[in-house]
Amino acid sequence: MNRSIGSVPGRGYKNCKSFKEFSSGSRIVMGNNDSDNTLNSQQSSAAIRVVGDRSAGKTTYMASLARWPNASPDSPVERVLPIGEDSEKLVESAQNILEQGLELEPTPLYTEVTKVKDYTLSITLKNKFKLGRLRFGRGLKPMTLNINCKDYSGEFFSDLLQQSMNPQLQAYLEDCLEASGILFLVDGMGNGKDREYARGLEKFLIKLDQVSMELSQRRVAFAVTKCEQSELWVNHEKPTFLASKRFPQTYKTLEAWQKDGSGAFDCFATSAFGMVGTKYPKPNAKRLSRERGGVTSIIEDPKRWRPFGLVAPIYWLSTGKRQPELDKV
Amino acid sequence: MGNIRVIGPRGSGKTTYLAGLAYWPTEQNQAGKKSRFAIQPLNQETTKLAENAENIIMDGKSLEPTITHVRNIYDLPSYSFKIEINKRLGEPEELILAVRDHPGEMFDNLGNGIKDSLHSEFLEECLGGDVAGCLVLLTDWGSKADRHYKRVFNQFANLLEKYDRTHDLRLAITMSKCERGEIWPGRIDPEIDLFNLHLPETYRTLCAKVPEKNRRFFALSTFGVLDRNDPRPNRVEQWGTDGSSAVLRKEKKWKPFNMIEPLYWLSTGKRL
Repeated sequence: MNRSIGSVPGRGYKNCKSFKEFSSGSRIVMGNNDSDNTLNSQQSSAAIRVVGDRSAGKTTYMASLARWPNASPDSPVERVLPIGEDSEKLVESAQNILEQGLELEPTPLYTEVTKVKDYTLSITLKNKFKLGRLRFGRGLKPMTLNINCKDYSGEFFSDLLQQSMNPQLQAYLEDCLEASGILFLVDGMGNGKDREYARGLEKFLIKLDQVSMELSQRRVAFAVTKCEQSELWVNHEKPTFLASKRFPQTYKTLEAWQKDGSGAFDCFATSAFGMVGTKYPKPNAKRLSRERGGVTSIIEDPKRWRPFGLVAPIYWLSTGKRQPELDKV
Repeated sequence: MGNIRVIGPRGSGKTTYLAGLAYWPTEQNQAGKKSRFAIQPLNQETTKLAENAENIIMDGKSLEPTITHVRNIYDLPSYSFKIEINKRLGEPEELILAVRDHPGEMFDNLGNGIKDSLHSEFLEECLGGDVAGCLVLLTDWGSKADRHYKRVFNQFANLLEKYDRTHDLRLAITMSKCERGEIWPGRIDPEIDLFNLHLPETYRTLCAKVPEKNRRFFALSTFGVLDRNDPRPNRVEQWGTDGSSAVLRKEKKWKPFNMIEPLYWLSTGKRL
């Protein structure tokens, strides 16, 4: 595949002067990635990692976020910038696969640690949004959020429970321990796996707690994916209801963790594919299969592909505040 | 907004009811009068159902029981509708619902005491925390049916307790096909004239086990009757190679009765 991504209009991608510096294996970008725009901007200091079951849609989430297609002019998000080679490839996949109405290949099982894909995205929020809502009187400083996702290729939760000595899992966990924010993705249609998720998550949280954070507490964003699906869509405006009712055990695990003072969690409703139509919103997804672990679908109408809710959890993980504008569809 | 499950014995008209919703005549008027409601299908499965609905309701293409193409809960169709309700005063009200159609065997097995893992999966699916309520369509009356329904609701009430849904799951207990002459007059006050009168044991069981705020009694008819002054069912039995099936008698007179009201109550807790 050639790198045709840079020609996508309006992505501001080529302006990223120094992205090559970050093109090999850098885990998180804390600043200076885009000298033109970040000179005066506030970089969020959160290090975020993405976890989730194999079919939770991690790669699709990141690809959709990286591509950021058909953004609404009202969106508080200025742009999303892929950092590094893997991330560029991710945008290519979004363009060449998802946008053609095809299915992303499942990440191959258990690749070598060095070959694990490492996606980093830098999200810039608009000045206006920031001025109006957040930092009064501090001038026009755009805010940049960074997110990193290592593409763990195993069965995260069952491996946690059954193969805790697996070297790939160890390396992955080690990496997660550095994070102050965990984006925990679950396929909303996979609620049959609630108990497994709860047990896996409990184990994961114990591991996290063994490494204490120096200054701040950890945050976990419990994000329900695939909310374009009708059964989830009807409750997408009530993410806590949605998450707690469909995944009661997982929710209780997070509640207990929060109560212990280990950190904070919040719930989010997200969709990498989004809806088509505003008066009669239909899922922009064509279903391929449905089973206990969840659903698989492809984009039905790539021209009108507009994800929703993808930035809200990242913003919350970075700032600890919820921005209602980012929850809007 | 909310998730609804449609349950009830075999042949109680669950799928036909949903087909009627999907095929709701939006452009043309119902029996010459403008309907208060407009319904739009909101996903592929519902659009497909709307296409089939024409065959089901107009041409009487006999419907296979849902169980023949549903092997597990993941096969259960998941329909979604947007219902717009025009009010005499003020803005129209809107509801977006996701509705799943359950095979009648699940309901009947509950009364027959049959338990297997598939069966409990179906029940669990009905009682999930994000389900706002169940539309229970019933079709028979008389002492035999009464005993069967009573047993089912006894079991169902135990399950509500077990899944901790007794106080937050609504049940719309609904007599289906009420265009039938014997019960058509009972539609006006179904709680008294249909359930208390014709299904007394079932009625008492429900009153005893389901909190009042979570139970309501309804009567509905997907086919309706011919006219206000001609209350013959707008439905004829058609005999095909695989038995009889109901077809709309006069297409132009199609006026379903009370199809939206139970859904509205299940979703909002208010009477329409």
